[in-house]
Amino acid sequence: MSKGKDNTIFFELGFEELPVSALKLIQKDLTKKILDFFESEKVKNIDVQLFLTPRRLVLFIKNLPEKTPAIEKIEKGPQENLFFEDNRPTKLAEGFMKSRKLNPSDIEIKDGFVWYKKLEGGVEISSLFIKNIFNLVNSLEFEKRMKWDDTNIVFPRPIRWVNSFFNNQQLEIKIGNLVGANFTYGNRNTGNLKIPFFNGYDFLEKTKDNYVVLSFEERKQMIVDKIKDISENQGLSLIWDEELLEEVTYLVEYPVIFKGKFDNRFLYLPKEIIIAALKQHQRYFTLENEKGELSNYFIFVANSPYASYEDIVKNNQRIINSRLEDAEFYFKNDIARSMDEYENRLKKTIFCEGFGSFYEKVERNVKLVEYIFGKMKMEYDPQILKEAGIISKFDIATDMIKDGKEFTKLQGRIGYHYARLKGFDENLSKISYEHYLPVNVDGDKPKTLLGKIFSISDKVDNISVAFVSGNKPTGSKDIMYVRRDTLSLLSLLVYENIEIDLYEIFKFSLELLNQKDHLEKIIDYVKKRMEIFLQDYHSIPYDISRSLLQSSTFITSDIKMRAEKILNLKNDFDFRRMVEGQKRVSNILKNISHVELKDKNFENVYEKDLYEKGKDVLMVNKKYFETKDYDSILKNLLSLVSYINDFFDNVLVNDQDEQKKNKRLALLFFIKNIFMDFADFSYIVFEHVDLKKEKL
Amino acid sequence: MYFQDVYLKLCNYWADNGALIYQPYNSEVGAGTFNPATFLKVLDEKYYRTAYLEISKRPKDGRYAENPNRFQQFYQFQVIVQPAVDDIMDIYTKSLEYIGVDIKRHDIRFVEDDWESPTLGAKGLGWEVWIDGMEITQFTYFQQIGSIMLKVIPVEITYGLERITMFVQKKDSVLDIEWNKEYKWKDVMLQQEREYCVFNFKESDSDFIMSQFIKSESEVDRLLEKDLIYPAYDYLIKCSHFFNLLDARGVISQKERANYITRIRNLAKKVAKKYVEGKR
Repeated sequence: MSKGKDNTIFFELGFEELPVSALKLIQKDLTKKILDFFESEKVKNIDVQLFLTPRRLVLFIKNLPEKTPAIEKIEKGPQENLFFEDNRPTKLAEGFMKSRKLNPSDIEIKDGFVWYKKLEGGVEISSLFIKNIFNLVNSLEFEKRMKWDDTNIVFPRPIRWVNSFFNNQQLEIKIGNLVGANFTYGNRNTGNLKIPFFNGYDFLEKTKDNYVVLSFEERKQMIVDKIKDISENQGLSLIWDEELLEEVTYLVEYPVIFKGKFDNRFLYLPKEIIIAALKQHQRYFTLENEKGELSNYFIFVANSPYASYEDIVKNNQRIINSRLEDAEFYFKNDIARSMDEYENRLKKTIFCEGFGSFYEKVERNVKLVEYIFGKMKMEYDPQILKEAGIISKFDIATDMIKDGKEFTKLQGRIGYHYARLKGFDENLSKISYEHYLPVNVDGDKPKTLLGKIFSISDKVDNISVAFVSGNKPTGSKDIMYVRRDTLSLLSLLVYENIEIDLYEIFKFSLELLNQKDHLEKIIDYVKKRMEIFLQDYHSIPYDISRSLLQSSTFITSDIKMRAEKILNLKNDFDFRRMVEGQKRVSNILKNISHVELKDKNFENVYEKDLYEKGKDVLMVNKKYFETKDYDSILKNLLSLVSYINDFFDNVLVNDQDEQKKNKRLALLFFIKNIFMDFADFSYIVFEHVDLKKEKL
Repeated sequence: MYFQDVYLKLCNYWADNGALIYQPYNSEVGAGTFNPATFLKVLDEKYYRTAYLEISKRPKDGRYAENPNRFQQFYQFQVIVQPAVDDIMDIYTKSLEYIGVDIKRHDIRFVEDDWESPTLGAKGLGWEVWIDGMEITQFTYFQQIGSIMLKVIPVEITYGLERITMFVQKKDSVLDIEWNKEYKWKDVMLQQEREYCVFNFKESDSDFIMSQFIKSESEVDRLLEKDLIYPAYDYLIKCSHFFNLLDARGVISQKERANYITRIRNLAKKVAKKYVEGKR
């Protein structure tokens, strides 16, 4: 054993095939957990290597000292007078010393208390490791855990063997009923052989000889290389699917790649259906030819180094043909149904308990669409809108989506294909998937106008229903996907520059649901998400967003545009003066109800100048607002600042004469509103606020 | 190897491994789990091994015998090993060798599939077992039965007998499976498969079945009050089958669906509870 820092721990946890999600979680979080754990024991600069296969978790932890660093600490003990009586230790003192293994030399008396030396650390790394490693692994947030024997141990799947070494020394690690040993198992499909080994060093070799490739990256590369090999030979190319590749790599210990082919009579089915049948259940890769058409060849990855090529390919082909026949069964039945039948089916399908069927949901969506078009001063044939509404949701009532488990992810795409087959034109058919877009902030947006407006309506209705049905998001709970819908709604409105007022839309949406109360809560929620959206995706700080979210309208695209103008100016000295100018005004008006400016006969030149300047700015800005020339507006607002400062420096607002005072307050309200037309700058925060000017 | 030989061999294999060879239940069930030899017996929480054939009826899965793999009725071979043993996966793979599968030449995979029967209030974690991409077995460590968390964990191994035989006999369709020397699967089953598909999808009398459901449901409670647990459980099984028939006819809306499932689960819970109380 080495005294230096070059010790190595080897650890292998063997289990029955672990779910991919659990493996991904271990990959993502375990290394950091281990580093943090050793760090908390003052062991730093270690090297953790993690290997994962479906049946084992392997760790090599290198650069370890033999023991954790020892640290001497002085701790406070009992009061002196409890510890000594007539200069002799009391019973309490004896017990105290004994339980802490203290010698008289470890003790000191100070300030009427006993202080004692305590040694921390100095623990053997190997015993520290075996005591803690399983708890570290099991502290990960696995979705599900199970029990499999008479111990109370739980894990995502049963654990069947464990090995651990400190350099060459086998460690007596215990997990449930298992004790550390020196044998592992080979690939299940080569006979699941029990393999003895001596230490961590020959483990790598022994496992490799038994068809276990420990490294995820190595397995992945094996798959990618072989797929390229096989497909390019035939002028085909892989339809790249990183998610599938990752999953398949986690499903095997030794990838062996095969090519199969399904009956080409299925190629008339929509491409997505075929790909879903191959991918979702069977985890097959699909190929396409030079023209980008789907080929009837497919690739699959087995875990069987001795497999007989012919058998394995034939068997897999048989399965996929039968899956495609199942898809065809759904497809034929679905196509045979008329749109009227689907309308009836939608009427029978619940959208949300207490808030009607999907048919009623579609009706609300359509009314929202009409409302939005109305606001945009556009007209649309109501018959077409009704049709579009049904097209958007009818695939929910198809057998393919309802019953075909592996096809449910195709919601939207199925509707599109079926609508086309039913003779609806391209743009109208697209509603079916476009109205779900974007699925995330950077995702594809709807391309058609109808798609955009239906998407907005769908999400607004979803959000409203979630709130009124008591399913608003709380903590990690969000069963109606309100967060996702809100983010998607905001990004659509902002990036597509759709100028609608969310206040009005949600108000109308709630009217459709015969609800009055929830508007405030919804708007507050959506505003919060807007702040987060601007911060996360556009680095616009919260204070700027807040300054713009005080307005009585809620037009997201405009808010973002203004926010960016403010952001550009935030380090500008003049801008800072302007903000402080508005703050002076706002501060004095705090807790005062609005006073209308009626009497414009100002006796004082400062009042008069401020009023005249304000009137001027207001008039000029009015024009700029029409063209959204926000740079000019800001510049214009800036020109007010010196008048404000002059006013405050020379006029006492709180005059004893009530009439004078009210007139001045009214003037300040008038000025404040000129700013508020753009933003409530009093929300803007500067890092070093100059307080002098704030004192009035 | 004939279809009936696969069955006989599995019986022998599991009998050699200590299983009590039981029989399919005398009432329509969706899976071997419904047989009281599983549902009730695992609640005993003691050493127990059984193996039996089950006739699995799933009205909605019928395809008028036009799909090579999907039928409204098929045969399961059900095994319970309680408590689970450490080498249960090896014991299982050896059973495949016993029926003539050279497992090294094929790709055997344990693919994550957590099993749940919402009507029985039963849950477990486990896998589908695939051989060359075909699902042949459901392999589950039960965690909960009749909404009761289990202390002694059983493994349930459910073989799809047709699937395995197709594999062994290299057939493309269940219909072509050789049952014995003279008969194919379709000779025995085709007519009834087609007739049941018509019945399940078109001809079953929903009103009649609905009334049967409601009567059976109250029968469970009535019989439980008299401590007749097995007879009460029979009526729960009937409820479950009636529900499946109504579902196949498409007369149950989504909302009602969840409601029916909850009703059956509540019955299962009551039966399981009564059974466990009786054992104490």
